[in-house]
Amino acid sequence: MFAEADLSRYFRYAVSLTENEDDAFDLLQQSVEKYLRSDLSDVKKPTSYFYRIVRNQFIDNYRQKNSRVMEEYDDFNTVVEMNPRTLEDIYIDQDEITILLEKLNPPDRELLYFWAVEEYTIDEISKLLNTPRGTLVSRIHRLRKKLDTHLDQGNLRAG
Amino acid sequence: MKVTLKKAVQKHYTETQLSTEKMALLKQIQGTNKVSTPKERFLSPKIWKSMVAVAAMFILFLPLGLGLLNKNSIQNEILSEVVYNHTRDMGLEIQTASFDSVKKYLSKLDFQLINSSFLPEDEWTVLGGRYCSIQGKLAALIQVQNKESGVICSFYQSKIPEGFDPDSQMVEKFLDGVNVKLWFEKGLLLAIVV
Repeated sequence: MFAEADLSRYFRYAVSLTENEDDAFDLLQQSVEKYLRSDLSDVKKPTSYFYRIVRNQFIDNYRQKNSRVMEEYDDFNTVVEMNPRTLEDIYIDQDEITILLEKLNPPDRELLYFWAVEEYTIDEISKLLNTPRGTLVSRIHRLRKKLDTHLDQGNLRAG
Repeated sequence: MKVTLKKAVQKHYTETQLSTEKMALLKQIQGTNKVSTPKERFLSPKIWKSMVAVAAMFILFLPLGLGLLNKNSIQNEILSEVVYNHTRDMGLEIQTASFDSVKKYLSKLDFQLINSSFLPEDEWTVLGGRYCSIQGKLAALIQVQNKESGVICSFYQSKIPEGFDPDSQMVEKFLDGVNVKLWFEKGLLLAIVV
């Protein structure tokens, strides 16, 4: 089962999806319960497996409440734009990050979480989320444009 | 002062921590299969020896009323746990008016769900169910609605936890603004939160 460090890590991931600590805890609790009653005999990578449980549970929870989230997830399998600008050269005030994250949708926050906190490569994220690499590249490109819009317009303080 | 987006995101999420209470609940759900950290494994023999010594003292000196205190302690934990689950309102995994459908869906339980005499079918409607945990063991939450008042309640069924000697008396408390009742029926622990 999971040690404290693992639970803390998964909690942070849940927060990246929900951007709300109470909802994140509920999501994590549901996911742990689902994990415990699943057949683990064929699970070779528990971390990846559990990340997917949390992600699927999040989508299930919000399917009824917020159809837009689903559209945002579904939209990932569309046009692939190559040569994205990197996220590495973006600078921001630390006290603006919460506002910025609130302006992003869950899939974008999830991508930022894996990139920044877990420091996964695109290939690793692609395998973990079972999402084509090209789709992720496209998402990063669009995310960069969104971030530029928010940061260039200086509208993070405006709420 | 500006920092890279990567560092800002890292700091934002790494400062997010599970509270001690929530961490304890997650560990409880995982039951006795918890993975120990290297530090915990290193310390465990010492802790074990200390616990044996303390346990020996308790066995020798504690009054006979210990059993009752222990029972009340577990009972209070369960009451708090079901109230917490009720107030979190975590949604149903299956929505159905059929109790048999809920039983069929919750097939991984290691006990059979029962029809309680406390909730006669002509007075209550089943709305659905989901898995939950009570004292770290898989349990069932069945949402029911009173036909007359329309009040929706969380009805829990679980195996009787180890070390909990059941009796026939129903316990009723008000916790966190809700009413909770706990009783035993047909070899199961049952609770309802209104």
